[in-house]
Order: sequence, then structure tokens, then C-alpha cells
Amino acid sequence: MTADPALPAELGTLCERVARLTRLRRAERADVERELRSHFREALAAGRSPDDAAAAFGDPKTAARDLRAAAIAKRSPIDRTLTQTLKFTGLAAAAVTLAYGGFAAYLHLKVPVISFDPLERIHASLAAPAMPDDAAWPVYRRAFLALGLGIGDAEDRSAGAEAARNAPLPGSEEWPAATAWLDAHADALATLRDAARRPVLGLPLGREFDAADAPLFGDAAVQASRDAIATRNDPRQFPTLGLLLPHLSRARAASKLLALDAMHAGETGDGERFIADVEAALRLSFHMQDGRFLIGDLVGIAIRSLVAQRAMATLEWKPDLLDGAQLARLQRAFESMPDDLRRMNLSCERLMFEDILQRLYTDDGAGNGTFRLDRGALLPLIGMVESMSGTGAASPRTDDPRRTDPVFVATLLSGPVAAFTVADRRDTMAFVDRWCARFEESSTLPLRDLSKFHALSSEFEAEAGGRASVRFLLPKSLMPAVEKASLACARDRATLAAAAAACAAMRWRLDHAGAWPTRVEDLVPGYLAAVPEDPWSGTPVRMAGEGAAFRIWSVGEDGIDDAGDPDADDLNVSELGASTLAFRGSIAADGTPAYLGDRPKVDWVWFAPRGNLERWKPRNPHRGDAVSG
Amino acid sequence: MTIEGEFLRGAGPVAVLKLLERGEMYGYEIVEALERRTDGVLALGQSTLYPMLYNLEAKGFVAARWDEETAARPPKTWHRLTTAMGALGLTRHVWPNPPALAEVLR
Repeated sequence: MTADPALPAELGTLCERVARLTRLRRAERADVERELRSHFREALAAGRSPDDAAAAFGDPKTAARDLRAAAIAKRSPIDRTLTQTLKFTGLAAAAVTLAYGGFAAYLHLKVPVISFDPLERIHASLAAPAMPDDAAWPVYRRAFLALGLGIGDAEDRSAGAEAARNAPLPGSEEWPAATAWLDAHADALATLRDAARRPVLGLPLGREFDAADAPLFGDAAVQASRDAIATRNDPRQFPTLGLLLPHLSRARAASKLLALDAMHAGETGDGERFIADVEAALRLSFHMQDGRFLIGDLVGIAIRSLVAQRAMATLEWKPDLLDGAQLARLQRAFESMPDDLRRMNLSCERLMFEDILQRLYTDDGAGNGTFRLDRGALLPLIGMVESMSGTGAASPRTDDPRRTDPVFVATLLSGPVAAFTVADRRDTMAFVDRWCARFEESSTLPLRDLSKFHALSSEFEAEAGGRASVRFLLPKSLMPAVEKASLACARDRATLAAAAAACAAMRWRLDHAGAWPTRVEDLVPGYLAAVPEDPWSGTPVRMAGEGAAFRIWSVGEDGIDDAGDPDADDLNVSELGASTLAFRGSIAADGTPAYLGDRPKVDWVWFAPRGNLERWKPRNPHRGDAVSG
Repeated sequence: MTIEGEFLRGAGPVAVLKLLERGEMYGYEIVEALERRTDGVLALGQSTLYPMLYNLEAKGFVAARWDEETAARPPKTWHRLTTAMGALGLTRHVWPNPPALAEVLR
């Protein structure tokens, strides 16, 4: 409203004030002010003084309030309805915004409750030695160090050690250096065999490494084990994911030396040492599965695969190496795998998940809670998973969770959306439990059910992917690609069964004046408890040939019997080692796990005693893998 | 004597309407007429009048028009009874005791 020259300033101000106090729309306020100005002009014209006119008008606030109510009543019904709707919508939006902001703040400030100590649970799951001497680890440690497997061990870089590590075959260029190194370390190998005879591993995982472990694992690993314990109640630490298992790589290296020494013993006709090496390697593999870490299972399986291959190769090369009692002992060793190791056990994976959930979710005290989008916890978690999958950057992802930059604010404000979108704690754990159980069950399937492994994997991807990929964000990202471990379990059982069947056939031959059995059924029950099954067909395994032409074979993945041509066999390849462990995030975009590459579809020859090692020598890339173990 | 409170809330609008039966009036004119014609009995607080007029407009009893300033007179808003209201005979319909009000207004 423009200045009104006919009205004193105090009355003009009063008109403006009343109009402003009405908080009406601009046009309505203008009408009010115009009418009041008219009123006061008339009052002045009637002889009232400005003060008198203002006093007679009354209280401006009351006038403004009454004017507002009356002006609103004057609006059209549609206008009033619309205004009311907008008002309530605005109020509702404000309430929702307030609630959202409050929930975001609640989620941000809600500190996760660490209700259980995962490291203690891991420790409790380990086999405990009844007597101090039952623990293999102190003896293994001594043996590993004596074998040059300590961290930064100078001997580890010697030519002999290098040759031995390459696990060459007899007759190769490196064989003399490797065997000379083995001879020089006979005492250490004896210590290794002594360790393997102990009933339990006895490495206190989940606790601080002993200072005596420092020369083997390094000071940094010992310190890391201390740090993990010191920070285990920090919600932004993931002690289960960061748990160091440095003994596994040493055990794998030691198992190669045992397998190599077994061949060396076979070459020199030392059947006792050959068996002792095979037995030690098998027991070492069982020890590595203490606590049932998935990676420990894969290492155990890889060790058994290697030692079975080398034992079979040696017996094919030296069919007369062992007498009947020794063969029976070797067969028992191959049949000695504990039942619980014959199938996958994902208890550690469940524990890992449960621990991650207690660090990323709120806790309602009854086993449930809401997902917290906590960048300070998620970034280290992503970094750890990427480093374990081999897909991440070298440096760990860390961040200051208290930063107030836009990303932090965006993360904070996204918290409620994430909380509503990502499955709650109970549903997530139930999902993980259900799928772990299904994967564990699948590990009991034989190799011929390979398609079921793939189907189960596809089913998981379908259930955890698509629209559920956010709902089950954590299982989808963190569940190991365990279907390959299921496959590895099936191959592991088949490999041991093949080795036992070969031992049984050799025992039959010794009892039958050098003649090989002609039917696998001949071996039952005198030499085997049951007819060995071809894992690819479900029928009895094939057996045929006289003398050097004798062979035992499976029809292989294609199910076609090619008469067990040992020269065509490529399936002795140890494809499934610990290095193949990957998280689902590392599976190729087309969904094809890397371990399921094209393989030759030929018979899998279990045993073909030709008196030489020709079929074990590297002739193609697959064979190259085989001899490197 | 002045009539205030609840009574005024009911009497005021009727008194205004009664005044407007006689013709178009502007705000201050109504204030003065009420005070003059009732000997101060219905001396409205002046700030009360305009919300009352707005309410009467909202109910459809009164209409307003803005009269732009001319050389002869300043600008002002004129209020009058709507045609329908005038034809109905105001006091019989909106006031429970017309004789009493008529007495007040004489």
C-alpha cells in the first residue's frame, strides 16, 4: 500500500499493522488495509483526533484475528476446502518430515549392541586337546619353521626350496635339487609327520597368537591378532572377516612337500615313508578343517586332492612298492576322513553373518533390529570383502564417520530409507540360515548332480537378486559362492573313493598271483565294504585290462564310456583349491563362476598302473595345473 | 447503558442489517449511526464492525463495493443488503425477539 497523504503516519502504520497481523493473502490484506484507511479518513473528517480514532478502533491484534476469521469465512467453499486440505497436507508432510528426521537421527545415534563375542565363539568351536601333547600346532610350528616356511625365511629362497616348492615330477629337471632338499630336511619332515599324528590341531584361533608364532606368521600378524581382540567390541570392526588364518598357507605348502616326499620315497622303494607321508598329509588336511572355516575346508580338500593324485601316480609308477599290509593301511588312510568332513559345514559363515548383523543393525533386545546405513562401518566392510575377493583397492577403505560433508549428510538422510528397504535383522539371519542349510545339503550330492549345484546357485541369485537385491543386500554381497565348495566336497569324496578303490584292486592283485580283478564286484566284501560307485553315472565304477593295461575309470562328466583311455584323461586336475574362494560379488557379470570353465568331456581314469608317469606329465595347460598342485 | 458480551454478538449484526435496510452505508458511517441511533447503547468497538461485515458478506446478507476516489469524495467501501435479504424482511428471520431490537433501535 502506498503512503496516504490524507492519513497521519501513526494511523497509516496502524492500518498496515492490522493488515499484516491478519496473515491473509496479499489481495485480502490489501482490501483490509484499504477499508481501514477509509475508516480512519472518515473518522478524521468527522472531527476525531488521530489518537482518539486509534483508541476508538480497539486492539489491533484482536481486530486482526477477527478479520482473519471473517475473511476466511468469506472465501468460497471450494477455496476453504482447498486451503484446509493444503494446510493438513502441509501439517502431515511436516509431521512425516519431522518423524523421518527424528528416525534418521535415532538411527545415526543408535549405537549397535555387541551382544556376543564372535572370537570367543570361534575359539569355543575348536577341538580342544585333552592333554597338552594332543595339540599338533606347537609341533607343526616347529616343523614349518624347520622347513623354511617362516615369514621372511632366507632358506625359503634357496634353490632347493624353490625346486621343492614347485613339486616337480620324478625325471624333471628340478627333481634332483628338490629331492636333495627333501633329504636335507628329513628331520623336519619327520617332525611334520609327528605333528600330523596328534589328535587335534590346537591352534587357539580367536585368541592372541603366541609370541612363538611370530617367526612363522610375522610380528604384524601377531599384533593384528591382539588388535582384533582389543577392538572386538567396536561396532565398526569386523573381527570374523579380519580373522587371520595364516596357518593354512603354511599347511598347504607343507602338504606339497609331503606329497613330493611320498614320490621320493616311492622312487627309492621306501614304502613305509611313502605311506607315512600320505597319512600325514591327509591328517594335516583334516586338521586344517578345525573350526570349519570355509576356506579351511577348501584348503583341506585341496591338500587331499594333491596327495591322492601323487599317491596314485606313485602307485601307477611303482605298482610293487607296497605289500598287502601296507596297501591295507594306505586304503584305510584314504577311508579315514571323518563323516562330518564329508559335507560342507557353514557354521562359521553363519557366525560371521550374525556378527556382521550385530554391528550393522540396531538391537531390540529380542533378536531383531533395523539396518543402519553407517558409512563408518560399511566402508571398512566393503574394503575387507573386496580385498578378500581380490577385487578391491590395495588400501583399505576408511572414512571419518563424523564428517559433515554432503555425502555424510546424504548418508544420514538415506538412513531411514535403507532401514525400511533392507530386510530387518531377524529376516536377514533367517535368509542366511535357510540358504546355508540348503548349500550344506547340496554338498552331499554326487558329482553327477552338477546341474543341481548350478540350479541352486541360480535360485539363490534369483531370490537374493532383482527386487530383493536391496532387501537382502548383505547376504547377496557377503554370502560366499559356496556352490563351488559343494562341488569340491563331491570331488573330494570321489577322489578318496577312487584312491581307496585303487588300493583295494592292488591288494586283490597281490592275493591273486599278479592278476588284476576283472570286475569291481570282485573286490566286495574282501577288499572294499561296498562296490565303488562311479560318481558321474551312479553305476559301479568301470574296471578292465590285464597287466599294464589294467585301469579303473569313471565315465566322466559327459556320461559316455570312452573305455578309460588314460592318455585322454584330464580330470585329475586339481581345479578347486583355496585360491578359488570368492565372494559372490566377484562372480563374472554373465553369472558364470570362474571355476566352471570348459573342461574336456572325457573319462576320469582313477588308476592305470603302467609302470611310468607319462600320463601325469604336463602335456597341456590342464596337466600343467595338475603337477603344480 | 451499553449492551455488550454475548448479547452484542447477536444484536450487533442484526443492528447493522437493520441499518442497511435503509440504504447503502460505509464502515465509519455505520459505526456512527449505531452509536447515534441507540444513544450509545450499541456503541460497537470499531474494530468489531469490519469482521462483522465480512461475516455478513460470507453469509450472503451483505454485499460490498469499492468506490474509487473522486474529486468530491475520498475512496471508500460501501455496504448494502443483498437483494434477497432485503426482500425477506430481515428482523423476522434472524432475530428471536424483533420487538426488543426494534425498541432498542426505535
